[in-house]
Amino acid sequence: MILVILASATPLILAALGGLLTERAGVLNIALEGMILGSAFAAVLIAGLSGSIFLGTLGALFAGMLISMLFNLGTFTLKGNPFITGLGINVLVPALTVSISQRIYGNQGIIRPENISSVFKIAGMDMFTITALAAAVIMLIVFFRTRQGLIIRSCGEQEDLLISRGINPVKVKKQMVLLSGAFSGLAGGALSLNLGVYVPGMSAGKGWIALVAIYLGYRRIPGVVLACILFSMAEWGANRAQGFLGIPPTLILSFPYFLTLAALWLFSIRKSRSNTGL
Amino acid sequence: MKIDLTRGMKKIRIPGTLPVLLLCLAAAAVVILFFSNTPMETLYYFFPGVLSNSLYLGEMLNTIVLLSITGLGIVLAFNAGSFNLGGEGQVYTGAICAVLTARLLPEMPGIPGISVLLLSGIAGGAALAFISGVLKALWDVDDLISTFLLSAGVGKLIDYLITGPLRDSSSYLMTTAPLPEKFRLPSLLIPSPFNISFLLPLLLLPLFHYFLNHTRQGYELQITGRSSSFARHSGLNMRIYQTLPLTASGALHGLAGALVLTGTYFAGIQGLTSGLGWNGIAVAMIAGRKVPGLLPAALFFAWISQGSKIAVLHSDISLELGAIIQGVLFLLISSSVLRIKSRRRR
Repeated sequence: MILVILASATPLILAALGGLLTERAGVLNIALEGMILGSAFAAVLIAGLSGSIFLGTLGALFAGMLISMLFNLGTFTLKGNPFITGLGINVLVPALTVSISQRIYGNQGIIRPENISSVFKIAGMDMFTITALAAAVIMLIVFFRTRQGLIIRSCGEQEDLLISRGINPVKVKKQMVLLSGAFSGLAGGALSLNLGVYVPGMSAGKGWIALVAIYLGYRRIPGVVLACILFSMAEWGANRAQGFLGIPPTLILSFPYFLTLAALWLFSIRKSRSNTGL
Repeated sequence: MKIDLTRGMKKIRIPGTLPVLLLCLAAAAVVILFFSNTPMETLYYFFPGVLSNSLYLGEMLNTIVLLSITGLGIVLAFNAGSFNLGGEGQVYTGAICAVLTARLLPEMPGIPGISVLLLSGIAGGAALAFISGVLKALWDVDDLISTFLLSAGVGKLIDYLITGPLRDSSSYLMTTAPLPEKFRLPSLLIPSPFNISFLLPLLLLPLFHYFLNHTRQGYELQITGRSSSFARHSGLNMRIYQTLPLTASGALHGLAGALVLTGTYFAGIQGLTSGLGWNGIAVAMIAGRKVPGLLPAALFFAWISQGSKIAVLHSDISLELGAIIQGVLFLLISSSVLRIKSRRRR
């Protein structure tokens, strides 16, 4: 049961860690959703064409980074509003995947290549879960034990400090967005390669839930990972409980958004309290 | 985080968004060339095809009406320094409130009935935006995010209502029972949904233009939008200007939703907003956040979306052309605006 929950939490953890990187660098990355979906599509597409899970994973990674480059282009190079740019990506990516799948497979629906092998596993944990947990540990070390980590954290909190040290904060932000694209890419790969199938809209709000997890975990790595696991447990429980609680599944779809709002609201209340307290 | 999000938007003054529009058309042409086997034919349906019959023309005119109303809502919020990204949910709420009102009060006579339906739509949209306004005024919750999240969540709730408790079981579509004949706005350009509601923008746009530029409240609202700290030090009531314009913005979106119901679909169909909220943002940005630009901007956008619909119907391209163009527009639209701004500063 623990392994099942951990496996279902994996895409969430990966996306949330990516989102945390940009969040700490001071960029609100709402394009996570589009990045996850686009790379889930690329993963199955490339794994199906090449017959290799490894190449599929690599494809997902690059797809995520490609989409994050689009985000960087709109937000930093063209100096657009990151929220609008992110929305643009979230609108554009599903439309593009449908159009490409129409062009290649002649259908707009599910892609299920025959030759996808199963994902590599150690001790019941698949490679994505292992990557996610390793990434969390590495990030902990990088954040608090290295100069780079300090730069990332101060980028979100004290940009002026970086500028005074001759470091360009925009460059740091761009790099973090790129990294979050890579993380979301892996999240997408974990989502679709584990099933061996791509379904339109299969990210199903995971990018948004990852954002909630970031705020619920108080923007700290262990907290964020824990929040992701909590969400997966709740989801697992809700799936089991659906029978006797009678919550319609369509209603559950609204929860991530309300939860994010509630988390942000609490965050703002805390912030305004501490401001007046000073 | 908060400063980053809103800083750019508040300063926007667009003289012309023409380059972005041309880029979007170019992107559309590239997509068509890439995804269509008969690109010339598809391009024909995409551009002049709109004028080929009264259905397509009427649908486009109707879209202009709806988009200029939602666009006006966005412009109004913008001017007060608020950002309403919840248009989609507010339109949907407006529509479902009108559906519920029609169910609750079926014996109302026609014209007053339609007015009550529209009013309930206005109230629904306003209520949703009001929540975000209060969250901003009292706890400084970013309105950009709260309007979006609230709208997305409420959208799913309404989906549930339409596919669940309110569903018309005799229909194969995901829809509520059809509106009684007397609550429907008759078409002026049969068989299209173009109807009497075209008078509304002709009334509302000059009204709000006058309000914003020739009244004290309108002036104060714009000051709040330009510099909230200046407004605060001038003794303006910030809480009012952080809440009311956003609420009015939601009201206009709710009105659009009720109009979609009474004038276009005549039933609460799942996803009936068809991007009215998002496209209203695009229209407002193309219009340069100014009321007079709204009609031409709505014309441009309505033409593009109608054109892509017709192209999909009559040629071999996939169903997603409209969304691709919209995505590209979003990626570019806020940026162009800022580039022009920074050029000015230099």
